Amino acid sequence: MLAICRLTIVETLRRRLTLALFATTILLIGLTGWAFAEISRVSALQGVERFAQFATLLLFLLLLFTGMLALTAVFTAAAAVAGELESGVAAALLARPLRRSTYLFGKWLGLAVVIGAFSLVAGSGEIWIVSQVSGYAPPAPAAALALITAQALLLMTLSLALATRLSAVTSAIIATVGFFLAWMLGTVDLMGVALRYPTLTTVGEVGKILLPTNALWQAAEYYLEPPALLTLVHGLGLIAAGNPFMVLAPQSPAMLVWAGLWGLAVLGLGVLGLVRRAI
Amino acid sequence: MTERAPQDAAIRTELLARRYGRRTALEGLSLSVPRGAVFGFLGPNGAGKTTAVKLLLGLVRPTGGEGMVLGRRLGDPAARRRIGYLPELFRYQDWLSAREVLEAHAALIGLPRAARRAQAERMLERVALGRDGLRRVGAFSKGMQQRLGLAVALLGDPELVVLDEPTSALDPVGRHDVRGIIQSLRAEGRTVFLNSHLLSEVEAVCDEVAVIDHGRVVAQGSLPALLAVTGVEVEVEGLGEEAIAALGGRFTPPRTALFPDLGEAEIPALVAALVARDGRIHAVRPQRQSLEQRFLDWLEVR
Repeated sequence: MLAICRLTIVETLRRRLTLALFATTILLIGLTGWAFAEISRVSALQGVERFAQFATLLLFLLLLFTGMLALTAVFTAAAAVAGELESGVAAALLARPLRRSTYLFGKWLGLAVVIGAFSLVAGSGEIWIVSQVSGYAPPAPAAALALITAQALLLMTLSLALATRLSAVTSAIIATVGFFLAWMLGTVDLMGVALRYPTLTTVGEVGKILLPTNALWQAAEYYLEPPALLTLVHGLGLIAAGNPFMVLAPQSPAMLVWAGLWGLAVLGLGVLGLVRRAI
Repeated sequence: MTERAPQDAAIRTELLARRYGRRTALEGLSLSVPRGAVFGFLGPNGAGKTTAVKLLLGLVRPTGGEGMVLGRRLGDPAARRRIGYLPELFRYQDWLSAREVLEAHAALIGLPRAARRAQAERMLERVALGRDGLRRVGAFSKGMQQRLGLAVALLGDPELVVLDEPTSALDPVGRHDVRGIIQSLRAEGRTVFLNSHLLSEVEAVCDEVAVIDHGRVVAQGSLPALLAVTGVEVEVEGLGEEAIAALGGRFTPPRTALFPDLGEAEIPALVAALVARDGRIHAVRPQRQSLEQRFLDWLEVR
C-alpha cells in the first residue's frame, strides 16, 4: 500500500500539481491579506459590527475556499484513478501480486496526504493573514480546518470510488455536482429551521444523510463564528438567521460519525467496483 | 487448492470463457502449456488473445470454465509473483524515469530494497536501455517504451513470462533483439507465453503453438507437427520427365523434380530410387508449408 501511496505522491510532485497548489496558496494568502487590509482601512464600522463584518467575510472566504478545495480534491482523485485504469498503467501494476483494495487504499492515502496538506496549509494561511491584517481571529480555527479538510477528503473519496468504474471527467463532475447539491440542501435545511418550514428541514436532513459533505462544512462554520456574532444575528431576527452563511448550533456528533461511516462505505464500494472491473 | 507441482503444466485451462454482456470474447479455451516451453498463441485481431492473457493474469474474471497458472488458480497473487507480463497496451508512468518504473515494480513483487536498483539496471541492460535509465518515460519513443515493458516483464526472475504482442512497436532491429531475449528465456528454463499475430515471429521462436479464432482453439501442437512435410523437392540431373513421373513426381526443367505426396520418412527410398536410375542428385529439400499458409487454412476451415 505504501508503494502505491508513494507513487501517487510522486506523481503529484512530478506533474507539478503540488507546485500549482503551492503557488495557488501563496496567491490566495496574498490576495486575502491585501483585500482584508483594504477593507480594514476603509471600513467605518466599529465595535461588534466591525468584528461581525470580518467574521462574515472570513466565513464567505472560507466557503469559497472549500469550493476550490472540493474541485481540487475531486479532479485530482478522478484523474489519478480513472486515468491510470484507462491508460493501461494500472494493468501492469495490477498484474503484480497486489490486491486491488491495496491499490485503491494506497491511492487514497497518497491523495489524502496531498489534499490534506493543501487544505491545512492554505486554510491556516488564510485565517492567519486575516487575523494579522484585521485583528479578527475565529474562536476555534483548528477544529474548523480539520472539518473543512474532512469535507474535502470525503469528496475525494466519492470521486475516487466513482473513478473505479467511470471516466475521470464523469466521476469528477458527479462528485462536483454532489458537493453543490449537498451545499444547496444544507442551505435549504438552514432556511427550514429559520422559517420554521418542517418540509424544508426534512428535505435538508435527508440530503445530509445521503451526502454528508455539507454537514462537515456546517460543523466547521460553527467553529468559525464568534459568540458575539451569533448574539448579533439572534438579535436581528429569524430571517437573518436563515441565511446560508450562518449556523446557530454545533453539528451533532452522530452526524460527524455518520459522515465518517459514509466515507468508509463509499471507499468500500470503490473497492468493490475495482475488484469487479475488467482491467 | 492444490500444492504447486513443478512437473505440472505452466498453464492449464479448461473451457475458459469470458463474455462481456452479450458479446463473447472467449468461448471455451482449453489449453495446456508445458513448463519451459516457448508457447505461441496465434490468432487474427479480435480472436480473443488479449482477453485470454488477461484471464490468465487475473486482470479479468472468467464467466465460465477454470484454469491454473503455475499450479495456482487464476488471479492468485502467489502465482502472480512468479509471472512477468508485458501488456498489449503497454503504458508506464510517464512521469517516472525508466529505472524508477522498474524499481516500483520491484517493490510490488517484494524484492528487498537493496536489490531493486541493481535488478532494475540489469533489466535495462538486457533490453538495450542501459543508457536511458534516468530518462523520463514520457520522453521515450514507442519502441523504447515497449523495451521498458519487456524489462518490467523480465524483472524478479519470473517462471512464466507473458508477452502480449511484444514487438508491435519495434523496428526490425528491435524485433531481432526480442527474438534473442525470448531464446535466452528459453535457455534459462522459463516458460514464455507469446501472444502474437506475427507469424514469422512465432515461427522463429516457438516450440508449440495454439491458434485461436472467434474465441476458440482451432489448432494446437508442436510446430513441426503442425507444419508437416508436404512434398519433397529434388535437384536432379540425368533423368527425364517420364522417369520422374514414374516415381510420382513432376519435372520442371532444367533439373527440378517435385514429389508432392512424399514425406520426410520416404526421402532415403526416393534418393535410392533416383540414384538407381542414374540420376545425379544436387539437392534434396523437404517442403514444409509455411505457418502463414497453414494459418490461412485453419481460419478458412471455419
